[in-house]
Amino acid sequence: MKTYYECTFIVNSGLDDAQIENTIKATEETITKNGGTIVATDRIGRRRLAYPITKKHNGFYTCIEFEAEARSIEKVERYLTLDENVMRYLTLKLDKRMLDAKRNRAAANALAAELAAAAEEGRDVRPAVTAPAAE
Amino acid sequence: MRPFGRRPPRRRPNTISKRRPDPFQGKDAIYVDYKESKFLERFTNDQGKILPRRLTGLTAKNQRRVVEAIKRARYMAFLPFVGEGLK
Repeated sequence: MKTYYECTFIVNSGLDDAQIENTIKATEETITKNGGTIVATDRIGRRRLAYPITKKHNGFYTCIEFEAEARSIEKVERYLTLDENVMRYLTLKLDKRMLDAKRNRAAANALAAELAAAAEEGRDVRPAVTAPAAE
Repeated sequence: MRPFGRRPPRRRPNTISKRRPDPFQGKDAIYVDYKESKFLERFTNDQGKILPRRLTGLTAKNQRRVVEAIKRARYMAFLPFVGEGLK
């Protein structure tokens, strides 16, 4: 049975973009090779770390959402441990309720951003009907 | 209406309430994303410590979810273990 997971990892941001991209691609490949399917890859991007990890102050964050068999997680995590460009990783299992909540939040955030952008440009947007509930 | 079993707040004369409004308005948060560090920062003090429920005003359930999210955020360096002033 396939389960829904999200795996966030931090890649050494001292590398150039191509190398970071390779690491992300390799991780995705490891997931698919072990029978998983990628749902979404969110490249959060370079961010300052709240505290230094192995003497580095910045990192490139990526969050991959995927569906996979439970026993393939072990292999994916093993890959991430062995790759020395990956500074940290965290895999979470998402159940249906969490997944729905996450989707709704993402949709609401996107809508709010769109409305804000539209308001800034002075474009006319349909109010009330589309306005999401404030967080 | 107070949630059942909640200790009534102790009256402390001459203290300013630091209690903040509950962002979930008592609703079930279901999923608190550890990646939303700006949002989680609200539940920590300037040392990076997690605020007690007495100050966050969250329901017990939501507080547990927020706490879990903050701890995950700390591991992934979204939030500090030790705040700015103490380093």
